[in-house]
Amino acid sequence: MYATPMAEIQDQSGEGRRVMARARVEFEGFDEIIRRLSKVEGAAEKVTDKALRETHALVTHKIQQVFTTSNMPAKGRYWTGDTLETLRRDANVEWNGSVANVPVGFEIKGAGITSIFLTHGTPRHKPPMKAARGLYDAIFGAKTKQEVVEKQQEIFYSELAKLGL
Amino acid sequence: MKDELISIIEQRGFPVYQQGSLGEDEAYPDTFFTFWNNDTYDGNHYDGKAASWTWSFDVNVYSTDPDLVNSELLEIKTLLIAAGWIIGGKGHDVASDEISHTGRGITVLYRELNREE
Repeated sequence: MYATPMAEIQDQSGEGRRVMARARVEFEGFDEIIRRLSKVEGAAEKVTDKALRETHALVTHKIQQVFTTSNMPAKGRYWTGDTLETLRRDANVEWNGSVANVPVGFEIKGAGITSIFLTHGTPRHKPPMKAARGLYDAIFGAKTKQEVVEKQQEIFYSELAKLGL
Repeated sequence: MKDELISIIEQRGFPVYQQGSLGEDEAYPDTFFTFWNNDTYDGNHYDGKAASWTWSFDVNVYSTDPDLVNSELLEIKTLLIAAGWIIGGKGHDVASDEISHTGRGITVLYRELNREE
C-alpha cells in the first residue's frame, strides 16, 4: 500500500520485487489526518506503518479464504497448492523517502507464475482466466476496498484521538 | 478513457486487442498489444457525487522478440505519462498462450475529473 499525502495514487507491481499487487492508503480526509499527525514527530510514519500492516493482514486473509477446493478451476482436480505457498503472509512495509508501501498477494516466481494467469489472463483468455472464484475480488473488489478504507480510517482516527490531535 | 488509451497505444504501430479477444485458432501477430480495464472507481466525492474517477488498465505487449517486449513497454509508459496517465514501476511478466512469444505488462491509471454540472 502507498501511504503518502503527496504522491498520486499508485499501483505498481514493483521493480525488482515482483508481487501480484501493492495496495495503497487512500480515503477522504487522509491529507488532513497526515497534516495533524505531523505535529508529533514520527507519528505519521508509525500510524501509516500500522495501517499498512493491518490492511495487509485483512487482504491476505481474504485471499486465503478463496483457496478452497470448491473455488478452484475443475473443482480443484489439478490444484497442487503451490500458488498458495507463494502468498506473502508477512507484512513487509517498505519506505522509500516519504512513500510507504507493502506488497500483497503472491510472489511471482516459481509456482507463483500461476497467479499471473489468474490476474492478467492471456491474449486468448480474459483475466481472470479460469481463476479461483473470488480471487480477483478478494484483492481488487469493491467490498475489499470498502473494508480496507474502513480499517484504515479506524486506525488513523483512533491514533489521532490517542494523541489528542 | 478506453478509446483514448487505445489511440495512444496505436501510435506504436502494432495491433491492439482487448485481452482475451484473440480466437483459439487465431495466430498471434509477431508483436502486438493488449489491454484490460481492471476497474473504474470513484476517486473522491463532493455533494454526494463522485468528483473524480480512477481508471485502472493493464497494458500488455507480446512479441517474438524479447528485446522489443521490454522496449515497447517502456515506450508506452513514456507516451502514457506524457498524456497524463499515472504509472509506477517498469512492469511485470505476463503469460503467453504461444511458446513463440513472451510478454510484459504494466498497470496504468488515469484520474478523470467529473466535469458534469
